[in-house]
Amino acid sequence: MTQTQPAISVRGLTKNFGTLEVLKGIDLDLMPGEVLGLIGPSGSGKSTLIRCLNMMETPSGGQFLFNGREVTAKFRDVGNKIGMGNLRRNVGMVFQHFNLFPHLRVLDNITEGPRTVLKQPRAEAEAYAIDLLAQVGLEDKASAYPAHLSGGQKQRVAIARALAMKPEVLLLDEVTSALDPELVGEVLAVIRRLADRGMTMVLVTHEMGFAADIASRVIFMEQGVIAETGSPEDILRNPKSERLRGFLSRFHG
Amino acid sequence: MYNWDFYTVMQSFDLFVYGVWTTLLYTIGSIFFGVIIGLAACFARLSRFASLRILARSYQELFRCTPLLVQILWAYYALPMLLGISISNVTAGLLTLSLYVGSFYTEIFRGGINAIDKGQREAAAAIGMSGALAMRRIILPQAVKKMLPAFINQSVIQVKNTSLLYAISVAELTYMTSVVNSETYRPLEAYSLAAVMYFVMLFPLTQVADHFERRMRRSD
Repeated sequence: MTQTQPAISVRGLTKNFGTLEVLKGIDLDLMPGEVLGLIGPSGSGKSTLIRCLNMMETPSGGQFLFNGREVTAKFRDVGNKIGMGNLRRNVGMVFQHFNLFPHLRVLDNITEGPRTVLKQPRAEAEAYAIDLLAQVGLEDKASAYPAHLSGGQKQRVAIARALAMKPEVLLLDEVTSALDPELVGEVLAVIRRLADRGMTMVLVTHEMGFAADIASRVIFMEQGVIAETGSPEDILRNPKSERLRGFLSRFHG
Repeated sequence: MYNWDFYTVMQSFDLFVYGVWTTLLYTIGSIFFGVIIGLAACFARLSRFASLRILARSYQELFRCTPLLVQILWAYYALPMLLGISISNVTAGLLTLSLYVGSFYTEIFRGGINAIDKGQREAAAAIGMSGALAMRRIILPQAVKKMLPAFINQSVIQVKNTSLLYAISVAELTYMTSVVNSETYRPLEAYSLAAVMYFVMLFPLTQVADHFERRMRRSD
């Protein structure tokens, strides 16, 4: 297999909520090792798009391939088509509101997926979880409950939980939007390290500086379509369209 | 001045004990079956199949919106006519109590599950869990905590509801008290003692419910 096959490839992807057309035909290839920044005004469809990429939302139409295999809306694989369960084992997601499991200790939050879905033995799952906690700087919180963590700590645990599945792709949906400003940095630092290590990522973000910094490519979405795409330099420093200029000006002040 | 005489009534203490025992058996039995019925109806109501949802909802409303006493009498006197078979008071009593409490449990279970943030379901799905696995490992453990106070409350009511089986001569505490009364002609002592016995059974349960409710509020 060549290095050039995209991890995720979508063509003409659409998503409707009732009569509301949220995505109006998205074409997108995500290459291994790529860090893709998705920006755009609220309601532009960027969150819906990223949620389609692990079938958290089922697309209404279009083609969706993961490592060249068609994705089906069934939980299990169907023939050569990859099911949602299998897809999500390989495409992790981190949410805006963390969504940690409040009844489980930090360590158990991280080992839950490996143990129940991947059927890893407890010792193996815990050893890796402790390793991941060290990577996000929270090795001392292994036995704490999520309620006793700060927002930034919760989000770092959530990232570790997603990484515990050893995903090929990580989707980050506005992961710093619910954080107090002083806690954003610690989460971004973790993501930056992932990017440096070659993790394939898609991030929906309002942190333009951060997107410029770590993204290998930035997509500007508006009204359900990809309005502009290019390097961070192109998109954020030399925006072509009036709309993108208008959108960015609100962040530069 | 009324001359209290518990001695006469106490001579039939074994009848009270028998009544308490029967009451407990019907309570435990109907709660056991009620939980099974309640879980089944709850998942039917959360199902994506409209027919299951409608079926469960109809069952619930039928039993929640008619008096338990009427249900008991209907199951014992009317249902046998309809089916052409005889139904013992034990069967009629246990069946009705179970279905009745099950209809309330359905609502308690459903409420507990629905109270869990949908982000929990999404987070479970995002690590590759199936709906069933997520329900078992993530949703239910959290929902049970939320359900517990309401569940215990409904179960307390259930203990008292067994007294309605008096109407079809099931030998539970209230019926046995009436037996003692008819033997001793001491209604004041007999029914007072029965009330005390119900109280002794139920007071600890309400305390347990309060305890869980306090603990739940603390963790919120």
